[in-house]
Amino acid sequence: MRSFTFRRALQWLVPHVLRHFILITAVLGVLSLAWIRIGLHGDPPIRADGYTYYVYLPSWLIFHDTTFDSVARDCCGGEFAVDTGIVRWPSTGRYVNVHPMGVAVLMLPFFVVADLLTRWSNLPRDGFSLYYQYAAALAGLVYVLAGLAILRGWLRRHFRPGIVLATLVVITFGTNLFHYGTFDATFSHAFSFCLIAALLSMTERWWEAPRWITSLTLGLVVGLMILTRHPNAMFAAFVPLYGVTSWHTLRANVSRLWARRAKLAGMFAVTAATVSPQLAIYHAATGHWIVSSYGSFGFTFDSPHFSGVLFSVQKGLFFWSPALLLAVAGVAVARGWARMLVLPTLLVMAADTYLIANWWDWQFGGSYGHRAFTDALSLAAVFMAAFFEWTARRQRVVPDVAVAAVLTTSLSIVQMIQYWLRLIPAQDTTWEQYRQLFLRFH
Amino acid sequence: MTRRRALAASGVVAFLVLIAAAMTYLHDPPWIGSVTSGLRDWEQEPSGTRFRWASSHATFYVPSDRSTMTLSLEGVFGETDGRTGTIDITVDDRWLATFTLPDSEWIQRRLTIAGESTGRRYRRIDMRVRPTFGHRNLSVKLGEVALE
Repeated sequence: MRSFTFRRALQWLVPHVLRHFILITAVLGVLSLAWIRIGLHGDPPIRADGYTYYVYLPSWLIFHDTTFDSVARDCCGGEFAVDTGIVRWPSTGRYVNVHPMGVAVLMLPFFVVADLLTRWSNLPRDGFSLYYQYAAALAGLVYVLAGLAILRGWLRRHFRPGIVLATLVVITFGTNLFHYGTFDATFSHAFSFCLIAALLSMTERWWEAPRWITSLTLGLVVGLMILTRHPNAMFAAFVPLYGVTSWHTLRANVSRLWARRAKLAGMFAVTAATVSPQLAIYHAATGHWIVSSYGSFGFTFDSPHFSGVLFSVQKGLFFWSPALLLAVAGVAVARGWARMLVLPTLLVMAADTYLIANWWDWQFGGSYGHRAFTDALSLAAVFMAAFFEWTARRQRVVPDVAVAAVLTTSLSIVQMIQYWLRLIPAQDTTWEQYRQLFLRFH
Repeated sequence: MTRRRALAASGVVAFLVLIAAAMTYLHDPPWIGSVTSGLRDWEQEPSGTRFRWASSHATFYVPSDRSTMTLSLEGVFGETDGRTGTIDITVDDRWLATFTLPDSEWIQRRLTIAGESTGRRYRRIDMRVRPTFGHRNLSVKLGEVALE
Protein backbone atom coordinates (compact mmCIF):
# COMPACT_ATOMS: atom_id res chain seq x y z
CA MET A 1 0.00 0.00 0.00
CA ARG A 2 1.37 3.38 -1.02
CA SER A 3 1.93 5.83 1.80
CA PHE A 4 -0.15 9.04 1.92
CA THR A 5 1.68 12.17 0.88
CA PHE A 6 0.44 15.69 0.33
CA ARG A 7 1.66 15.61 -3.25
CA ARG A 8 -0.16 12.36 -3.97
CA ALA A 9 -3.36 13.70 -2.41
CA LEU A 10 -3.11 16.78 -4.62
CA GLN A 11 -2.51 14.66 -7.70
CA TRP A 12 -5.76 12.85 -6.96
CA LEU A 13 -7.73 15.90 -5.89
CA VAL A 14 -6.87 18.40 -8.64
CA PRO A 15 -8.34 16.56 -11.65
CA HIS A 16 -11.46 15.68 -9.66
CA VAL A 17 -12.07 19.22 -8.45
CA LEU A 18 -11.30 20.60 -11.92
CA ARG A 19 -13.81 18.19 -13.48
CA HIS A 20 -16.48 19.30 -11.01
CA PHE A 21 -15.45 22.94 -10.72
CA ILE A 22 -18.48 24.22 -12.64
CA LEU A 23 -20.85 22.11 -10.54
CA ILE A 24 -19.23 23.30 -7.30
CA THR A 25 -19.46 26.92 -8.45
CA ALA A 26 -23.08 26.35 -9.48
CA VAL A 27 -23.98 25.05 -6.03
CA LEU A 28 -22.19 28.00 -4.38
CA GLY A 29 -23.95 30.35 -6.80
CA VAL A 30 -27.43 29.01 -6.07
CA LEU A 31 -26.76 29.08 -2.31
CA SER A 32 -25.51 32.67 -2.62
CA LEU A 33 -28.58 33.71 -4.62
CA ALA A 34 -30.81 32.22 -1.93
CA TRP A 35 -28.83 33.88 0.86
CA ILE A 36 -28.88 37.28 -0.86
CA ARG A 37 -32.61 37.14 -1.55
CA ILE A 38 -33.92 35.38 1.55
CA GLY A 39 -31.24 35.75 4.20
CA LEU A 40 -30.22 39.32 3.43
CA HIS A 41 -33.64 40.46 2.14
CA GLY A 42 -31.90 41.77 -0.96
CA ASP A 43 -33.65 43.79 -3.64
CA PRO A 44 -35.33 41.88 -6.47
CA PRO A 45 -32.76 40.71 -9.06
CA ILE A 46 -34.31 42.78 -11.87
CA ARG A 47 -33.26 46.25 -10.76
CA ALA A 48 -31.04 49.19 -11.74
CA ASP A 49 -29.15 48.40 -14.97
CA GLY A 50 -30.60 44.90 -14.85
CA TYR A 51 -34.06 46.40 -15.38
CA THR A 52 -33.13 48.21 -18.58
CA TYR A 53 -31.28 45.22 -20.00
CA TYR A 54 -34.23 42.97 -19.23
CA VAL A 55 -37.25 45.16 -20.03
CA TYR A 56 -37.19 44.23 -23.73
CA LEU A 57 -38.53 40.76 -22.86
CA PRO A 58 -41.81 41.71 -21.15
CA SER A 59 -42.27 44.48 -23.68
CA TRP A 60 -41.92 42.14 -26.68
CA LEU A 61 -43.32 38.88 -25.39
CA ILE A 62 -46.04 39.86 -22.93
CA PHE A 63 -47.21 43.22 -24.25
CA HIS A 64 -46.24 42.59 -27.92
CA ASP A 65 -44.87 46.10 -28.12
CA THR A 66 -41.39 47.21 -29.20
CA THR A 67 -41.83 50.79 -27.98
CA PHE A 68 -41.87 50.14 -24.18
CA ASP A 69 -45.10 52.20 -23.92
CA SER A 70 -47.13 49.20 -22.69
CA VAL A 71 -44.63 48.36 -19.96
CA ALA A 72 -44.59 52.02 -18.91
CA ARG A 73 -48.40 51.98 -18.68
CA ASP A 74 -48.45 48.75 -16.70
CA CYS A 75 -45.64 49.40 -14.27
CA CYS A 76 -45.38 53.12 -14.05
CA GLY A 77 -48.58 54.92 -14.94
CA GLY A 78 -47.43 55.62 -18.50
CA GLU A 79 -44.06 57.24 -17.87
CA PHE A 80 -40.82 55.64 -16.73
CA ALA A 81 -39.01 57.51 -13.96
CA VAL A 82 -36.11 59.51 -15.40
CA ASP A 83 -33.49 57.46 -13.56
CA THR A 84 -34.63 54.13 -15.07
CA GLY A 85 -32.52 54.84 -18.15
CA ILE A 86 -35.47 54.65 -20.55
CA VAL A 87 -36.02 58.17 -21.78
CA ARG A 88 -38.11 59.82 -24.45
CA TRP A 89 -36.01 60.87 -27.45
CA PRO A 90 -36.45 64.65 -27.75
CA SER A 91 -37.22 64.82 -31.48
CA THR A 92 -39.64 61.89 -31.70
CA GLY A 93 -41.06 61.53 -28.19
CA ARG A 94 -40.47 57.75 -28.34
CA TYR A 95 -38.75 55.75 -25.66
CA VAL A 96 -35.08 54.87 -26.08
CA ASN A 97 -33.45 52.39 -23.73
CA VAL A 98 -29.88 53.30 -22.74
CA HIS A 99 -29.02 49.62 -22.80
CA PRO A 100 -29.13 47.40 -25.88
CA MET A 101 -31.10 44.18 -26.25
CA GLY A 102 -28.33 41.55 -26.08
CA VAL A 103 -28.88 40.52 -22.46
CA ALA A 104 -32.61 40.13 -23.13
CA VAL A 105 -31.90 37.95 -26.17
CA LEU A 106 -29.58 35.75 -24.11
CA MET A 107 -32.12 35.56 -21.27
CA LEU A 108 -34.90 34.52 -23.63
CA PRO A 109 -34.97 30.76 -22.81
CA PHE A 110 -35.11 31.53 -19.09
CA PHE A 111 -37.87 34.08 -19.64
CA VAL A 112 -39.97 31.65 -21.67
CA VAL A 113 -39.78 29.03 -18.89
CA ALA A 114 -40.62 31.68 -16.27
CA ASP A 115 -43.55 32.89 -18.36
CA LEU A 116 -44.97 29.37 -18.78
CA LEU A 117 -44.59 28.72 -15.04
CA THR A 118 -46.21 32.08 -14.25
CA ARG A 119 -49.28 31.11 -16.27
CA TRP A 120 -49.26 27.66 -14.70
CA SER A 121 -49.20 29.05 -11.14
CA ASN A 122 -51.56 31.96 -11.90
CA LEU A 123 -48.99 34.56 -10.86
CA PRO A 124 -49.21 38.09 -12.32
CA ARG A 125 -47.99 37.96 -15.92
CA ASP A 126 -46.32 41.36 -15.77
CA GLY A 127 -42.74 40.31 -16.48
CA PHE A 128 -41.53 41.17 -12.99
CA SER A 129 -43.28 38.74 -10.65
CA LEU A 130 -41.63 35.91 -8.75
CA TYR A 131 -40.54 33.45 -11.45
CA TYR A 132 -39.35 36.17 -13.83
CA GLN A 133 -37.10 37.54 -11.08
CA TYR A 134 -35.53 34.18 -10.25
CA ALA A 135 -35.22 33.20 -13.92
CA ALA A 136 -33.36 36.42 -14.72
CA ALA A 137 -30.95 35.92 -11.80
CA LEU A 138 -30.42 32.29 -12.74
CA ALA A 139 -29.68 33.33 -16.33
CA GLY A 140 -26.76 35.48 -15.18
CA LEU A 141 -25.38 32.65 -13.06
CA VAL A 142 -25.74 30.13 -15.90
CA TYR A 143 -23.87 32.40 -18.33
CA VAL A 144 -21.02 32.83 -15.84
CA LEU A 145 -20.88 29.05 -15.46
CA ALA A 146 -20.99 28.57 -19.23
CA GLY A 147 -18.17 31.11 -19.60
CA LEU A 148 -16.14 29.25 -16.97
CA ALA A 149 -16.76 25.94 -18.75
CA ILE A 150 -15.56 27.42 -22.04
CA LEU A 151 -12.56 28.95 -20.29
CA ARG A 152 -11.70 25.65 -18.62
CA GLY A 153 -11.80 23.84 -21.96
CA TRP A 154 -9.68 26.52 -23.61
CA LEU A 155 -7.05 26.68 -20.87
CA ARG A 156 -6.93 22.87 -20.65
CA ARG A 157 -5.56 22.80 -24.19
CA HIS A 158 -2.50 24.74 -23.10
CA PHE A 159 -1.92 24.27 -19.36
CA ARG A 160 -1.71 21.46 -16.81
CA PRO A 161 -4.83 20.70 -14.70
CA GLY A 162 -3.36 22.17 -11.50
CA ILE A 163 -2.64 25.48 -13.21
CA VAL A 164 -6.07 25.58 -14.83
CA LEU A 165 -7.78 24.88 -11.51
CA ALA A 166 -5.79 27.54 -9.64
CA THR A 167 -6.57 30.03 -12.40
CA LEU A 168 -10.30 29.27 -12.40
CA VAL A 169 -10.53 29.59 -8.61
CA VAL A 170 -8.71 32.94 -8.55
CA ILE A 171 -10.59 34.36 -11.55
CA THR A 172 -13.97 33.30 -10.15
CA PHE A 173 -13.53 34.25 -6.51
CA GLY A 174 -10.52 36.58 -6.50
CA THR A 175 -12.27 39.10 -8.76
CA ASN A 176 -15.85 40.39 -8.97
CA LEU A 177 -16.92 37.64 -11.42
CA PHE A 178 -18.84 35.61 -8.83
CA HIS A 179 -20.55 38.79 -7.64
CA TYR A 180 -21.79 39.49 -11.17
CA GLY A 181 -23.06 35.92 -11.44
CA THR A 182 -25.07 36.23 -8.24
CA PHE A 183 -25.72 39.58 -6.55
CA ASP A 184 -25.91 41.62 -9.76
CA ALA A 185 -26.61 38.73 -12.11
CA THR A 186 -29.01 40.68 -14.33
CA PHE A 187 -26.36 43.23 -15.32
CA SER A 188 -24.60 42.65 -18.65
CA HIS A 189 -21.26 41.48 -17.27
CA ALA A 190 -22.08 37.80 -16.71
CA PHE A 191 -23.29 37.58 -20.30
CA SER A 192 -20.35 39.49 -21.78
CA PHE A 193 -17.90 37.33 -19.81
CA CYS A 194 -19.37 34.23 -21.40
CA LEU A 195 -19.40 35.73 -24.90
CA ILE A 196 -15.80 36.97 -24.75
CA ALA A 197 -14.65 33.57 -23.44
CA ALA A 198 -16.47 31.97 -26.38
CA LEU A 199 -14.95 34.50 -28.80
CA LEU A 200 -11.40 33.81 -27.65
CA SER A 201 -11.80 30.05 -27.64
CA MET A 202 -13.47 29.99 -31.05
CA THR A 203 -10.95 32.40 -32.56
CA GLU A 204 -8.22 29.89 -31.80
CA ARG A 205 -10.24 27.10 -33.45
CA TRP A 206 -10.98 29.32 -36.45
CA TRP A 207 -7.28 29.96 -37.05
CA GLU A 208 -6.56 26.24 -36.68
CA ALA A 209 -9.33 25.16 -39.05
CA PRO A 210 -11.61 27.78 -40.61
CA ARG A 211 -14.69 25.63 -41.13
CA TRP A 212 -17.88 27.35 -42.27
CA ILE A 213 -19.72 26.44 -39.08
CA THR A 214 -16.91 27.95 -36.96
CA SER A 215 -16.91 31.10 -39.09
CA LEU A 216 -20.66 31.62 -38.87
CA THR A 217 -20.81 30.82 -35.14
CA LEU A 218 -17.97 33.25 -34.52
CA GLY A 219 -19.99 35.88 -36.43
CA LEU A 220 -22.95 35.16 -34.18
CA VAL A 221 -20.84 35.45 -31.02
CA VAL A 222 -19.41 38.80 -32.19
CA GLY A 223 -22.93 40.00 -33.02
CA LEU A 224 -24.27 39.01 -29.60
CA MET A 225 -21.26 40.63 -27.96
CA ILE A 226 -22.02 43.94 -29.68
CA LEU A 227 -25.72 43.53 -28.95
CA THR A 228 -24.95 43.02 -25.25
CA ARG A 229 -22.55 45.92 -24.79
CA HIS A 230 -21.63 48.06 -27.79
CA PRO A 231 -18.05 48.98 -26.74
CA ASN A 232 -17.23 45.26 -26.56
CA ALA A 233 -17.12 45.35 -30.36
CA MET A 234 -13.42 46.07 -29.89
CA PHE A 235 -12.84 42.49 -28.68
CA ALA A 236 -13.64 41.36 -32.22
CA ALA A 237 -10.14 42.68 -33.05
CA PHE A 238 -8.86 39.41 -31.58
CA VAL A 239 -10.00 37.62 -34.70
CA PRO A 240 -7.56 39.35 -37.09
CA LEU A 241 -4.89 39.95 -34.42
CA TYR A 242 -4.75 36.40 -33.04
CA GLY A 243 -1.13 35.28 -32.79
CA VAL A 244 0.33 38.59 -33.96
CA THR A 245 3.67 39.23 -32.29
CA SER A 246 5.49 41.29 -34.92
CA TRP A 247 5.11 43.01 -38.30
CA HIS A 248 6.03 39.74 -39.91
CA THR A 249 3.22 37.79 -38.20
CA LEU A 250 0.80 40.66 -38.84
CA ARG A 251 1.55 40.46 -42.57
CA ALA A 252 1.15 36.68 -42.43
CA ASN A 253 -2.25 37.09 -40.75
CA VAL A 254 -3.36 39.60 -43.38
CA SER A 255 -2.52 37.23 -46.21
CA ARG A 256 -4.23 34.31 -44.44
CA LEU A 257 -7.31 36.48 -43.85
CA TRP A 258 -7.36 37.36 -47.55
CA ALA A 259 -7.23 33.67 -48.40
CA ARG A 260 -10.22 33.15 -46.08
CA ARG A 261 -12.14 36.19 -47.32
CA ALA A 262 -15.29 34.24 -48.21
CA LYS A 263 -15.60 32.87 -44.69
CA LEU A 264 -14.72 36.25 -43.25
CA ALA A 265 -17.51 37.79 -45.32
CA GLY A 266 -19.90 35.11 -44.03
CA MET A 267 -18.81 35.88 -40.48
CA PHE A 268 -19.38 39.59 -41.04
CA ALA A 269 -22.80 38.96 -42.61
CA VAL A 270 -23.95 36.95 -39.57
CA THR A 271 -22.66 39.67 -37.24
CA ALA A 272 -24.51 42.35 -39.22
CA ALA A 273 -27.72 40.29 -39.25
CA THR A 274 -27.47 39.75 -35.49
CA VAL A 275 -26.97 43.44 -34.77
CA SER A 276 -29.60 44.67 -37.24
CA PRO A 277 -32.69 44.36 -34.93
CA GLN A 278 -31.02 46.77 -32.51
CA LEU A 279 -30.39 49.24 -35.31
CA ALA A 280 -34.01 48.89 -36.42
CA ILE A 281 -35.18 49.70 -32.89
CA TYR A 282 -32.91 52.75 -32.74
CA HIS A 283 -34.25 53.87 -36.11
CA ALA A 284 -37.88 53.40 -35.12
CA ALA A 285 -37.36 55.35 -31.89
CA THR A 286 -35.10 58.16 -33.08
CA GLY A 287 -35.11 58.24 -36.88
CA HIS A 288 -31.40 57.38 -36.88
CA TRP A 289 -29.75 53.98 -37.37
CA ILE A 290 -26.85 54.69 -35.04
CA VAL A 291 -27.39 56.74 -31.90
CA SER A 292 -25.77 57.37 -28.56
CA SER A 293 -28.54 56.02 -26.36
CA TYR A 294 -27.06 57.89 -23.39
CA GLY A 295 -27.93 61.19 -25.08
CA SER A 296 -25.88 64.03 -23.63
CA PHE A 297 -23.97 61.63 -21.36
CA GLY A 298 -21.10 59.73 -22.89
CA PHE A 299 -17.34 59.91 -23.21
CA THR A 300 -15.35 62.83 -21.85
CA PHE A 301 -12.16 62.36 -23.82
CA ASP A 302 -10.47 65.43 -22.36
CA SER A 303 -10.24 64.09 -18.79
CA PRO A 304 -9.48 60.35 -18.56
CA HIS A 305 -9.44 58.79 -15.06
CA PHE A 306 -6.74 56.15 -15.61
CA SER A 307 -5.55 56.01 -12.02
CA GLY A 308 -9.17 56.10 -10.85
CA VAL A 309 -10.27 53.07 -12.85
CA LEU A 310 -7.09 51.08 -12.18
CA PHE A 311 -5.88 51.90 -8.67
CA SER A 312 -8.30 54.14 -6.73
CA VAL A 313 -10.09 53.20 -3.54
CA GLN A 314 -13.36 54.24 -5.21
CA LYS A 315 -13.37 51.60 -7.95
CA GLY A 316 -9.77 50.78 -8.91
CA LEU A 317 -9.55 47.45 -10.72
CA PHE A 318 -6.36 46.35 -8.94
CA PHE A 319 -7.38 47.87 -5.62
CA TRP A 320 -10.56 45.76 -5.41
CA SER A 321 -9.22 42.73 -7.29
CA PRO A 322 -5.50 42.65 -6.43
CA ALA A 323 -5.32 39.05 -7.63
CA LEU A 324 -5.36 40.45 -11.15
CA LEU A 325 -1.82 41.72 -10.58
CA LEU A 326 -0.83 38.07 -11.03
CA ALA A 327 -2.25 38.30 -14.55
CA VAL A 328 -0.25 41.48 -15.18
CA ALA A 329 2.88 39.61 -14.12
CA GLY A 330 1.82 36.84 -16.48
CA VAL A 331 1.89 39.26 -19.42
CA ALA A 332 5.58 39.85 -18.68
CA VAL A 333 6.57 36.19 -18.28
CA ALA A 334 4.19 34.50 -20.77
CA ARG A 335 5.81 31.93 -23.05
CA GLY A 336 4.74 29.82 -25.99
CA TRP A 337 1.05 30.00 -26.86
CA ALA A 338 0.24 32.65 -24.22
CA ARG A 339 3.05 34.83 -25.62
CA MET A 340 1.15 34.96 -28.95
CA LEU A 341 -1.74 36.67 -27.19
CA VAL A 342 0.31 39.39 -25.47
CA LEU A 343 0.24 41.99 -28.23
CA PRO A 344 -3.47 41.63 -29.13
CA THR A 345 -4.32 41.71 -25.41
CA LEU A 346 -2.27 44.84 -24.75
CA LEU A 347 -3.82 46.61 -27.76
CA VAL A 348 -7.40 45.67 -26.94
CA MET A 349 -7.12 46.22 -23.20
CA ALA A 350 -5.41 49.59 -23.74
CA ALA A 351 -8.32 50.69 -25.94
CA ASP A 352 -10.85 49.25 -23.46
CA THR A 353 -9.18 50.98 -20.50
CA TYR A 354 -9.05 54.24 -22.46
CA LEU A 355 -12.80 54.10 -23.10
CA ILE A 356 -13.62 53.10 -19.51
CA ALA A 357 -11.42 55.88 -18.10
CA ASN A 358 -13.16 58.41 -20.36
CA TRP A 359 -16.73 57.36 -19.56
CA TRP A 360 -18.65 60.20 -17.88
CA ASP A 361 -19.32 57.94 -14.89
CA TRP A 362 -15.90 56.28 -14.73
CA GLN A 363 -16.91 54.37 -11.55
CA PHE A 364 -19.79 52.80 -13.51
CA GLY A 365 -22.29 53.61 -10.78
CA GLY A 366 -23.05 51.28 -7.93
CA SER A 367 -20.85 48.22 -8.25
CA TYR A 368 -18.47 45.89 -6.47
CA GLY A 369 -14.99 46.53 -7.85
CA HIS A 370 -14.74 47.91 -11.37
CA ARG A 371 -17.41 46.08 -13.30
CA ALA A 372 -16.42 47.38 -16.72
CA PHE A 373 -13.41 45.05 -16.67
CA THR A 374 -15.39 41.97 -15.64
CA ASP A 375 -16.29 41.21 -19.25
CA ALA A 376 -12.64 40.55 -20.17
CA LEU A 377 -11.69 38.30 -17.25
CA SER A 378 -11.23 35.30 -19.54
CA LEU A 379 -8.36 37.20 -21.11
CA ALA A 380 -6.85 37.88 -17.68
CA ALA A 381 -7.18 34.15 -16.98
CA VAL A 382 -4.78 33.30 -19.81
CA PHE A 383 -2.03 35.40 -18.31
CA MET A 384 -2.77 34.34 -14.77
CA ALA A 385 -2.31 30.75 -15.95
CA ALA A 386 0.90 31.80 -17.73
CA PHE A 387 2.18 33.28 -14.47
CA PHE A 388 1.27 30.16 -12.48
CA GLU A 389 3.08 28.07 -15.09
CA TRP A 390 6.14 30.30 -14.80
CA THR A 391 5.94 29.96 -11.02
CA ALA A 392 5.62 26.18 -11.18
CA ARG A 393 8.97 26.04 -12.96
CA ARG A 394 10.56 27.96 -10.05
CA GLN A 395 9.88 25.98 -6.89
CA ARG A 396 11.51 28.68 -4.78
CA VAL A 397 8.74 31.21 -5.48
CA VAL A 398 5.80 28.78 -5.38
CA PRO A 399 5.01 29.37 -1.66
CA ASP A 400 5.12 33.17 -2.11
CA VAL A 401 2.82 33.10 -5.13
CA ALA A 402 0.49 30.60 -3.45
CA VAL A 403 0.22 32.83 -0.38
CA ALA A 404 -0.38 35.90 -2.57
CA ALA A 405 -3.10 34.09 -4.55
CA VAL A 406 -4.83 32.76 -1.43
CA LEU A 407 -4.70 36.10 0.39
CA THR A 408 -5.92 38.20 -2.53
CA THR A 409 -8.69 35.72 -3.32
CA SER A 410 -9.77 35.56 0.34
CA LEU A 411 -9.73 39.36 0.58
CA SER A 412 -11.92 39.60 -2.50
CA ILE A 413 -14.42 37.11 -1.03
CA VAL A 414 -14.54 39.01 2.27
CA GLN A 415 -15.06 42.33 0.51
CA MET A 416 -17.72 40.86 -1.76
CA ILE A 417 -19.65 39.70 1.31
CA GLN A 418 -19.16 43.12 2.90
CA TYR A 419 -20.69 44.63 -0.23
CA TRP A 420 -23.63 42.21 -0.04
CA LEU A 421 -24.12 43.23 3.59
CA ARG A 422 -24.19 46.85 2.37
CA LEU A 423 -21.17 47.74 4.48
CA ILE A 424 -19.04 48.84 1.53
CA PRO A 425 -20.62 51.82 -0.25
CA ALA A 426 -21.93 51.17 -3.75
CA GLN A 427 -19.73 54.00 -5.04
CA ASP A 428 -17.41 56.84 -3.97
CA THR A 429 -15.75 54.76 -1.23
CA THR A 430 -13.15 56.81 0.62
CA TRP A 431 -9.88 55.56 2.10
CA GLU A 432 -11.19 56.40 5.57
CA GLN A 433 -14.32 54.28 5.01
CA TYR A 434 -12.25 51.43 3.59
CA ARG A 435 -9.86 51.48 6.55
CA GLN A 436 -12.70 51.46 9.07
CA LEU A 437 -14.50 48.60 7.32
CA PHE A 438 -11.44 46.48 6.59
CA LEU A 439 -12.26 42.81 7.35
CA ARG A 440 -15.30 43.80 9.45
CA PHE A 441 -18.73 42.24 9.08
CA HIS A 442 -20.74 44.63 11.21
CA MET B 1 -30.61 -4.52 -19.97
CA THR B 2 -27.24 -3.79 -18.42
CA ARG B 3 -26.97 -2.44 -14.88
CA ARG B 4 -25.79 0.91 -16.21
CA ARG B 5 -28.79 1.26 -18.54
CA ALA B 6 -31.16 0.25 -15.77
CA LEU B 7 -29.65 2.91 -13.55
CA ALA B 8 -29.97 5.54 -16.29
CA ALA B 9 -33.58 4.56 -16.97
CA SER B 10 -34.40 4.78 -13.25
CA GLY B 11 -32.77 8.19 -13.13
CA VAL B 12 -34.88 9.43 -16.05
CA VAL B 13 -38.07 8.06 -14.48
CA ALA B 14 -37.20 9.62 -11.12
CA PHE B 15 -36.53 12.95 -12.84
CA LEU B 16 -39.86 12.85 -14.70
CA VAL B 17 -41.72 11.95 -11.50
CA LEU B 18 -39.99 14.84 -9.73
CA ILE B 19 -40.95 17.26 -12.50
CA ALA B 20 -44.56 16.02 -12.49
CA ALA B 21 -44.75 16.41 -8.70
CA ALA B 22 -43.25 19.90 -8.87
CA MET B 23 -45.67 20.93 -11.62
CA THR B 24 -48.64 19.59 -9.68
CA TYR B 25 -47.50 21.50 -6.60
CA LEU B 26 -46.88 24.71 -8.54
CA HIS B 27 -50.31 24.62 -10.19
CA ASP B 28 -51.88 25.60 -6.89
CA PRO B 29 -49.15 26.49 -4.41
CA PRO B 30 -50.37 27.15 -0.86
CA TRP B 31 -48.04 30.13 -0.40
CA ILE B 32 -49.54 32.11 -3.27
CA GLY B 33 -52.14 33.61 -0.93
CA SER B 34 -49.43 35.74 0.64
CA VAL B 35 -47.94 36.87 -2.69
CA THR B 36 -48.48 40.48 -3.66
CA SER B 37 -46.88 42.70 -6.24
CA GLY B 38 -47.06 46.41 -6.86
CA LEU B 39 -47.95 47.02 -3.21
CA ARG B 40 -45.57 48.68 -0.76
CA ASP B 41 -45.22 47.78 2.93
CA TRP B 42 -48.07 48.33 5.36
CA GLU B 43 -48.42 51.84 6.78
CA GLN B 44 -50.93 53.45 9.14
CA GLU B 45 -52.98 56.64 8.82
CA PRO B 46 -53.19 58.93 11.88
CA SER B 47 -56.78 57.67 12.14
CA GLY B 48 -55.45 54.14 12.60
CA THR B 49 -56.43 52.87 9.12
CA ARG B 50 -53.83 50.42 7.83
CA PHE B 51 -53.01 50.67 4.14
CA ARG B 52 -50.47 49.88 1.44
CA TRP B 53 -49.58 52.20 -1.41
CA ALA B 54 -50.41 50.61 -4.76
CA SER B 55 -48.47 51.31 -7.93
CA SER B 56 -50.18 51.47 -11.32
CA HIS B 57 -50.51 47.68 -11.42
CA ALA B 58 -50.99 45.89 -8.11
CA THR B 59 -51.80 42.24 -7.50
CA PHE B 60 -53.00 40.28 -4.49
CA TYR B 61 -54.81 36.99 -3.90
CA VAL B 62 -58.04 36.10 -2.15
CA PRO B 63 -59.24 32.63 -1.10
CA SER B 64 -61.44 31.16 -3.83
CA ASP B 65 -64.18 30.15 -1.39
CA ARG B 66 -65.03 33.81 -0.75
CA SER B 67 -67.74 35.33 -2.94
CA THR B 68 -67.42 39.05 -2.20
CA MET B 69 -64.64 41.44 -1.28
CA THR B 70 -64.82 44.97 -0.04
CA LEU B 71 -61.96 47.22 -1.13
CA SER B 72 -61.08 50.30 0.91
CA LEU B 73 -59.32 52.78 -1.33
CA GLU B 74 -58.11 56.32 -1.23
CA GLY B 75 -56.94 58.03 -4.38
CA VAL B 76 -54.23 60.65 -4.08
CA PHE B 77 -54.23 62.22 -7.55
CA GLY B 78 -52.80 65.61 -6.81
CA GLU B 79 -54.39 67.30 -3.86
CA THR B 80 -54.53 70.80 -5.33
CA ASP B 81 -56.83 70.27 -8.31
CA GLY B 82 -58.97 67.47 -6.88
CA ARG B 83 -58.99 65.41 -10.06
CA THR B 84 -60.17 61.84 -10.09
CA GLY B 85 -58.57 58.57 -11.09
CA THR B 86 -59.78 55.38 -12.72
CA ILE B 87 -59.31 51.89 -11.41
CA ASP B 88 -59.83 48.59 -13.27
CA ILE B 89 -60.22 45.37 -11.32
CA THR B 90 -59.78 41.92 -12.84
CA VAL B 91 -60.12 38.48 -11.29
CA ASP B 92 -57.90 35.81 -12.83
CA ASP B 93 -57.54 38.08 -15.89
CA ARG B 94 -61.33 38.48 -16.28
CA TRP B 95 -62.74 42.00 -16.00
CA LEU B 96 -64.67 42.58 -12.78
CA ALA B 97 -65.18 46.32 -12.38
CA THR B 98 -64.07 49.77 -13.46
CA PHE B 99 -64.82 52.77 -11.35
CA THR B 100 -63.79 56.32 -10.70
CA LEU B 101 -61.88 57.12 -7.58
CA PRO B 102 -62.28 60.57 -6.00
CA ASP B 103 -59.24 62.44 -4.81
CA SER B 104 -58.16 62.29 -1.16
CA GLU B 105 -61.23 60.48 0.09
CA TRP B 106 -61.49 56.94 1.46
CA ILE B 107 -64.19 54.93 -0.29
CA GLN B 108 -65.37 51.38 0.11
CA ARG B 109 -66.44 49.28 -2.87
CA ARG B 110 -68.10 45.90 -2.41
CA LEU B 111 -67.49 43.56 -5.35
CA THR B 112 -68.91 40.13 -6.08
CA ILE B 113 -66.11 37.81 -7.14
CA ALA B 114 -68.10 34.63 -7.51
CA GLY B 115 -67.73 33.20 -10.98
CA GLU B 116 -66.24 30.27 -12.80
CA SER B 117 -64.21 28.13 -10.45
CA THR B 118 -60.56 27.78 -11.39
CA GLY B 119 -60.06 24.79 -9.13
CA ARG B 120 -57.33 26.66 -7.27
CA ARG B 121 -57.20 27.71 -3.64
CA TYR B 122 -56.75 31.40 -4.44
CA ARG B 123 -57.96 33.84 -7.05
CA ARG B 124 -55.74 36.57 -8.40
CA ILE B 125 -56.98 40.14 -8.15
CA ASP B 126 -55.27 42.74 -10.34
CA MET B 127 -55.82 46.48 -9.90
CA ARG B 128 -54.75 48.88 -12.61
CA VAL B 129 -54.83 52.54 -11.66
CA ARG B 130 -54.37 55.67 -13.69
CA PRO B 131 -52.95 58.21 -13.28
CA THR B 132 -50.00 57.69 -10.97
CA PHE B 133 -47.52 60.20 -9.67
CA GLY B 134 -43.96 60.67 -8.62
CA HIS B 135 -40.84 58.59 -8.66
CA ARG B 136 -42.58 55.52 -7.22
CA ASN B 137 -45.69 55.75 -9.38
CA LEU B 138 -48.07 55.76 -6.48
CA SER B 139 -51.58 57.17 -6.34
CA VAL B 140 -53.84 54.80 -4.47
CA LYS B 141 -53.86 53.57 -0.88
CA LEU B 142 -55.38 50.13 -0.48
CA GLY B 143 -56.72 49.34 2.98
CA GLU B 144 -57.35 45.88 4.37
CA VAL B 145 -59.53 43.83 2.04
CA ALA B 146 -62.66 42.48 3.75
CA LEU B 147 -63.82 39.08 2.44
CA GLU B 148 -67.15 37.31 2.82
